Amino acid sequence: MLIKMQDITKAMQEKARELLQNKEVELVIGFSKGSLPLRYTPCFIRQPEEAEKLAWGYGCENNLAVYLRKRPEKMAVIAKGCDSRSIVELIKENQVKRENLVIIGVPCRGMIDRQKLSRLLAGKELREAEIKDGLVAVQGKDISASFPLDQLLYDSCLTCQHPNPVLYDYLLGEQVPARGSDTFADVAGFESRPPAERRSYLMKELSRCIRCYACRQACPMCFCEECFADCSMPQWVSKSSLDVQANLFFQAVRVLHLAGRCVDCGACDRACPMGIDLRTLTRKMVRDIQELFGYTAGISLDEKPPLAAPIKTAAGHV
Amino acid sequence: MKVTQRLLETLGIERERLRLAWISASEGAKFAETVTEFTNQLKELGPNPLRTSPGVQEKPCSA
Repeated sequence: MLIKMQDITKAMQEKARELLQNKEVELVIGFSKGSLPLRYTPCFIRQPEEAEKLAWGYGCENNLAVYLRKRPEKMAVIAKGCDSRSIVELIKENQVKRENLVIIGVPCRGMIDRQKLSRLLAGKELREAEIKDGLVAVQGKDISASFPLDQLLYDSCLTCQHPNPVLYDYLLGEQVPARGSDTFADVAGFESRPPAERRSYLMKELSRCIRCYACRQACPMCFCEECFADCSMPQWVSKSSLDVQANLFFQAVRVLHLAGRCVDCGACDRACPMGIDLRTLTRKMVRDIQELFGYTAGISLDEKPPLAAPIKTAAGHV
Repeated sequence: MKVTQRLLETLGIERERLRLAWISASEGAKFAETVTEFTNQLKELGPNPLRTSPGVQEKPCSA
């Protein structure tokens, strides 16, 4: 049975109201409807009567785990599969206290990529969208069309192995079946290209980088108090976005710092205002960590992070 | 190390350009030998390919 998004929204509002009324938490972090169709925005609820602002839909794409660090109060958070995996890693890294957190899990059917939709609409303005039975019906000026939902989902959702929250206190809605295994065919495909081609592809992508660091800010795991890119003594990397090599170097180090921690939620990729393909590198790291260490980030609280555990290889050590 | 080497390779940088060797303070000869060997290998490989990619201003490679 397909549980309607409206039902989940209602259950979410009720649960938030109850938690705030009973003073179990001081803050509920979730989503509210944005001003444009298919858009949702993170929202912070502190009063029980504000709980009706909460909403759930196919545009709740932000990884809310990014807001959980360094908050003294008890709070509740709405978590999809990917958010919950980031939360698991944050707990393991002592960034979030489990006892201060109420996780309201929501099984996720994937989120709609508005860029994909906008390409299909050839840039025409979207005014209304309705999702029913796996079809997205869109209305706008001079447009009236219908697309299969799967065609519009984010790439990160199409390979998602954990649509259901791995850690939660309450679960709203029914569990969603996971998609077929992720073969990382995209990573293998990229690596099979000649080195010069790979270099020029990445340089071309990163030539658009404006160093706004939205990728870093959107990532729940990018939480260094001082990022190496912001250091000026020593200055590890040029701060000019015109220096394409430095842009690539920044991404390479970012990816390296996320080794064994990245849950491939795609938040960095979605946050990029320049539409740079960041997931080629992040996914490469996710796959390498799986291959080398047999570790998938954010699955269990007990499994030790790969870089903190003794390493076993064919040679006996690394 | 392995992770970084693999990452470099994807970026189009040969993994031989990155090396980790454990050498104690008492092993002066081994240190010199390793550095000389590595320097020779890097000379053979030539400048960092990322420095000479098309569309990028070429910088003089200081040895």
